[in-house]
Amino acid sequence: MSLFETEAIVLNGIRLGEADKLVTLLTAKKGKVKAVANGARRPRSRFGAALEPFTHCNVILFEKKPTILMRMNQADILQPFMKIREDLDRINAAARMVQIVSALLPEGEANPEIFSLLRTGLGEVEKRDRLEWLVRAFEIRCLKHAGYQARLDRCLICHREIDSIRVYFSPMNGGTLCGSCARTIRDPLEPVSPGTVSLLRLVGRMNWSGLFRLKATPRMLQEVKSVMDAHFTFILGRPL
Amino acid sequence: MDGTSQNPLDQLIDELRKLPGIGRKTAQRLAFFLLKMPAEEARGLAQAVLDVKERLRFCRWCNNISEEEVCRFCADPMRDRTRILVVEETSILFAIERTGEYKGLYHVLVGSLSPLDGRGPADIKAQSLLDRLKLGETKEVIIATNPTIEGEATAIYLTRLIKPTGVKVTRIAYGIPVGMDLEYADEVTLIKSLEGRRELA
Repeated sequence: MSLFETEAIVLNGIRLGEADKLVTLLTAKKGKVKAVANGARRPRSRFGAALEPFTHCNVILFEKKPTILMRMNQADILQPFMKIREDLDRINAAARMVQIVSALLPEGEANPEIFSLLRTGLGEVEKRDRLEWLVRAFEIRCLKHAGYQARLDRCLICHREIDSIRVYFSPMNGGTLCGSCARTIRDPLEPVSPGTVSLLRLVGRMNWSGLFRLKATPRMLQEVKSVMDAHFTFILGRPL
Repeated sequence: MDGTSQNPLDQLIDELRKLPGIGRKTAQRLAFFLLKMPAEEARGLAQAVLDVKERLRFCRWCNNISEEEVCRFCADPMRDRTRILVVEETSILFAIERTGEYKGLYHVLVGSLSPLDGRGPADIKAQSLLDRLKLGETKEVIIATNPTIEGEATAIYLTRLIKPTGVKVTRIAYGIPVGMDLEYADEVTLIKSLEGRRELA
C-alpha cells in the first residue's frame, strides 16, 4: 500500500461512472498502468487537461494492492504537446504511436527506452512534416526496445549475407530470407527490395535528425509499411 | 435457474443490473423499492420506459431525439435558421438549451472521431450536416464538440469538410470555468484562455 510519484505519458482514457476517468498511462517507474482519476470529467477537476491523451505529466498514484486499480492523486503537466491537437494528421500519427506502445507492452513492466522513445517521438510529431516516415521509424525502434528487433543482415535459414535482388521478410522468423530459402518455406512472406532492407537497418541506429536526412521513395515507404504490418500482426496475433 | 422458472422479483433484479453503474446490491435495493411503490407509480415508470423506446426517434434534420419526424427545434419558425450548433450527443444539446441564450438550430453528430479507438468519419452523422448546408440557409456553423482529443479531431475534420462550402465555421471558446481560482488552472487551459482573450468594451 503506497503512494508513488513518476513521470507518465497518457496513452488513453475512458469515461467511468458519472464524472470519473479510467486512464491508461505509460509511467517511467512502472511501465504501463491503469489508474482511476475521480472527478476528472468535472469542469473544476483538479486534473484539468493533464489527463488528455499524449500529455507528458508528473503523476502521484496510490497503489493499494497490485490486483486493484491504482488511484490518481495528482497530475501536473510537463509537456502538453499542444500542436498535436491542432492538426488531424498529427493526431492520427500520435494515436498510432500510443496504440503501438499500448499493444506491445504488458502492464506493470518498466521500459525506460520505450518511455523515452514515446516522449521524444511525440515531440517530433509536433514539429515534423514527414509524419508517415516518422511513424514507420517509431514502429521500427519501438519493436527493437520491446525485444522484437528484426534480423536484417543475413538470411535466417542459410545464414548467408543478404546480397541478392530477391529478399523476403518472414514475420515468423523475425527477419530476412534469401530468394532460394524463401522457396523452401510455406509461411507468409513479404517481398522487399535490398534498398528497403538497408533503410530498415539504418533506422534502428540513427537519431531523429539523422532519420529525417534519409530519403525514402514512396515504394520503399510502402514496403516498410507492409513489413511492419506483417510483423505486428505476427507478434500481436492480430492486425494493429 | 432458467428464465421461465424465475420469479418476477429475481427477473426485475436481473433487468436492473443491466443498467450502467448498477450492481447486485443496488439492483436489489431498487427492486424492493419498486415492490413497495403504489401500483399507479410503478405503471407510470414502466410506461415511461416503453414510451422512450416506442415513441421516440431521431429528427430527420438534426438527429435530435424527437417524437415527430422533425424535432421541436427544427420545426420552430422563431429560431434563427442561419446558425447551426454542432454537438456530439443530445445530452449536450440539452445542456446548451438550458442556458436559454442560443436561439439557432442544432446538429447532433451521435458520436465523435476517435483515432485512438478506431472511430472514423463513418461513425458520425457529418454527411447529413453537409446536406443541410447545401440548402443555403446557413451562414454560420458553431462547433461545440468536447475540448478533448476526440472533440478536437472531430472539430478539425468538420472544418475541413465545411470550409469549401463557404459557410463560416466557429468553435466555442476554451478557457477558465466561471468561479474557478486561476491559481489552480492547468497550463493548457491557461494557454488556451490567453489565446482566446478578447478586448473589454
